[in-house]
Amino acid sequence: MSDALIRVEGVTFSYRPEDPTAPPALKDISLTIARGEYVAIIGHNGSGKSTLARHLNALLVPTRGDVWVGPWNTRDAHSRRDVRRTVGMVFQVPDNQIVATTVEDDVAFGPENLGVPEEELAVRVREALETVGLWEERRRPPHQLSAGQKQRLAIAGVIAMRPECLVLDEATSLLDPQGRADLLATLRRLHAAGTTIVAITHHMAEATEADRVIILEAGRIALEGTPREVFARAEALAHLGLDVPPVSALANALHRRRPDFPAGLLTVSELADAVTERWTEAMP
Amino acid sequence: MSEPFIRAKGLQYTYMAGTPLAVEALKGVDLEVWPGEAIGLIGPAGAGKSTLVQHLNGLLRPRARGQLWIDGQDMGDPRVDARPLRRRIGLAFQRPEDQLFKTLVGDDIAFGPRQLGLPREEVRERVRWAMEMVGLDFGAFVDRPVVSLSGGERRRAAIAGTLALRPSTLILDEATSGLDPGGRRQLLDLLRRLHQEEGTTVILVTTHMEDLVGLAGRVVVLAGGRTVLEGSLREVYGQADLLRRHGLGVPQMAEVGEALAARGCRLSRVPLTVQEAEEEIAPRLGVSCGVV
Amino acid sequence: MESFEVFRHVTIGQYLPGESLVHRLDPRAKITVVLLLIAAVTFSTSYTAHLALLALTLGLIALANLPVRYIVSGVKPALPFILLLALMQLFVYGEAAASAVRGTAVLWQWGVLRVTAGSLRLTLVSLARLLELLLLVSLLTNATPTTSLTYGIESMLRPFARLGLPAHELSLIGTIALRFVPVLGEQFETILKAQASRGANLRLGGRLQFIRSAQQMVVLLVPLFLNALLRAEDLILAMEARCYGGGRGRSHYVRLRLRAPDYVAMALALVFTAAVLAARNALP
Repeated sequence: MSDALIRVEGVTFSYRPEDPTAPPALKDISLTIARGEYVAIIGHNGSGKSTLARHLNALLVPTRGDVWVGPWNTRDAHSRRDVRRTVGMVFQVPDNQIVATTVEDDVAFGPENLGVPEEELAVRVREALETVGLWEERRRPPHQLSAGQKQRLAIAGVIAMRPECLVLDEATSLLDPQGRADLLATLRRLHAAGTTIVAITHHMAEATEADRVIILEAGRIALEGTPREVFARAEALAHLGLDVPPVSALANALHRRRPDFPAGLLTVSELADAVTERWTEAMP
Repeated sequence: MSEPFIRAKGLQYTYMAGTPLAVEALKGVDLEVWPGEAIGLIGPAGAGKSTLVQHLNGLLRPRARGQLWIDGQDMGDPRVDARPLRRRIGLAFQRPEDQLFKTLVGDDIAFGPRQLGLPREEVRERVRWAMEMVGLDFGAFVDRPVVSLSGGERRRAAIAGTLALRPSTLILDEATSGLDPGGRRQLLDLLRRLHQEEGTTVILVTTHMEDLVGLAGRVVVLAGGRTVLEGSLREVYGQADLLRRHGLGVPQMAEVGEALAARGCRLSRVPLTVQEAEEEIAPRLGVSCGVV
Repeated sequence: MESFEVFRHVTIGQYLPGESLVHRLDPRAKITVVLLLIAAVTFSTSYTAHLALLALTLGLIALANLPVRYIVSGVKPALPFILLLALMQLFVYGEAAASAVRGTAVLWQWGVLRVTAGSLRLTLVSLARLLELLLLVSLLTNATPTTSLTYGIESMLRPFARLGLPAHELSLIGTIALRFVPVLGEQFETILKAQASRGANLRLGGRLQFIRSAQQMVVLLVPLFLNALLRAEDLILAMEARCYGGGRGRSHYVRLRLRAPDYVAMALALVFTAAVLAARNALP
């Protein structure tokens, strides 16, 4: 990739580096995330995906190896603010990342920390809240919002800092289908506007949105490719104990019976089209 | 038995009733649960699912309108003591952190049986049984501090704590949310075992409709504090439009059936699993499907 | 029947949204007015002054369009204690009250129990004070969002920052505390319910509440603290990810501005309080 935003180079990380018997959470991981890319990182609990995410904005620093965000090495304490302004992060539990007692004040918290001047603060808060569809709720206390709205508020709080990249650490796992769908729609909008997105998830169907899927297992990259490539490899995924999204699983099963049926389909309409096509093809 | 174990009729409930902060959570819920049944309760966020299940073990009681009978007792009658009921109807909450009270796993699971005043040996036996059911090794976990458990282990410990009361009915309030696919499968297997082998009545609240396949015989859909739909999984999942209108996702296989029907290819039934969909579709590939 | 609605009877601190003149005043003006009136409540002992104060606070509550009944219901849980205190004041402190407050005339006596004009006044004035304080604090907190209150306090404390007072940090601590009160309150309720669901004999809302809950408190506090700690860890991480680095170099989103009605309100409160205090020995 020519225009790399984040470079992870040979990163090994151990939560207890002084204890040589403790298995490291990440083992010699290298990957590059390009500007404007949408990457999904998938893995079991304990596969190291959250640990990797936290390396991307210097919340953790590698035991060995380096992480570069733009021109900055995350090891360098002086550039930490630049790194975090470039790569924003949204966490799993919506309630635990909201600081202020009204929606608009919470969105302002990040830019305030950056010392953004007052006139621009108002512009940014409005823009961020409109992007996630919460402008009408700006004066409400966060505890009156639904879980899905809270998570979109958390995203607004990060995008008000105008990051180039948004990292979501299992940000949808506690949401109901509607909340998840709204959040994914927001991400799609941000991505279309040029934001780089890294989504950590164990919800397979979510990964179909991404340009690239990376599967982690025991601190290493086990599988990597476009969603189509990855979900076509049902055996490899089953071996890792991961589910293929149901639509892909059905396509794979039909492909096994009839090799002309395409494997690795991602959406319901794709699959329905493929089925309908063969249905009418065989008409006398 | 021909009598439902739980019967709610037009059940209503308002939080902070009589204050300016009042919130109407239930506006008219009808529900019947027969002993030994496994049912699913689905609905979008804010539908009143948690409020409803907290009625089902007597934590909340009908106040104004609507009726609720549990095991023949009128729960609207303030003289009815709900505490004995709660020991037979176990309720596991969404966040395991809210239901682990003791510092050690074994102690925590023993909390319920100790409240019952059981002899020590029996308490230990129940803890051992409950841990075995949820797949936590007794020897390895009984003296582990609760804080040292992983998210999935915490969830299982919390459910073991409910199981240790040996409830005849088990209610799980979104107990699968936030679990990874492996953890989810394990928990659903456990519920299936409890239902089929121990005859436990299971009420599973979830937003993941796929969870109910192979477990629940019936689904009740709640939206806006009311019962809006009820029936077998196939009946309910086949109503894609209605589910969407209430802000619910449609299970992907049902969606496949719907998309095919829209293209003029009707399947003989709403597929619930990938395997069912495959069995429906595969033999008909290459055969005319009656183009409209 | 048990009741798990812990906050059912907590009326202080619950913001009730509205558009009244009182709602729209600057929080600093409201804080100043309420502090002035509290001074008047505290230092007057005359019946006339308290009648005037009661009339004024009730008038303000009507002006703010707040439900008086709801506010007064907040006193319910404390009612037995208040009545006990009032009876003690009335019968037992007759002697002391007679000399401390005007009124040595003995109105009623039975053994050591003695009601004097002074103790009657003390009792009635104390009851009036309690009621007025409740009404004033409710007026402030029910008609002002908590965020506005904390920003108001921060802004009022800012002049003291030069003397080394960490105004921003204090305000942030206050904000976060207020932000998590409803979260922890909800959690407390859930923990109570979870314990009841596992056979615990809770008698909340019953008469034995205080005796029984002492031992149960421990089992309640362990999970509550554990949860608070886990949440705090998450929150720190989220704040760090949003570039929080202390008060230095931060900008402020909320800009408070005192307008004519604010000055009028403060001036009226000042005149009223001064008048009441000046005449406190002259009024009956």
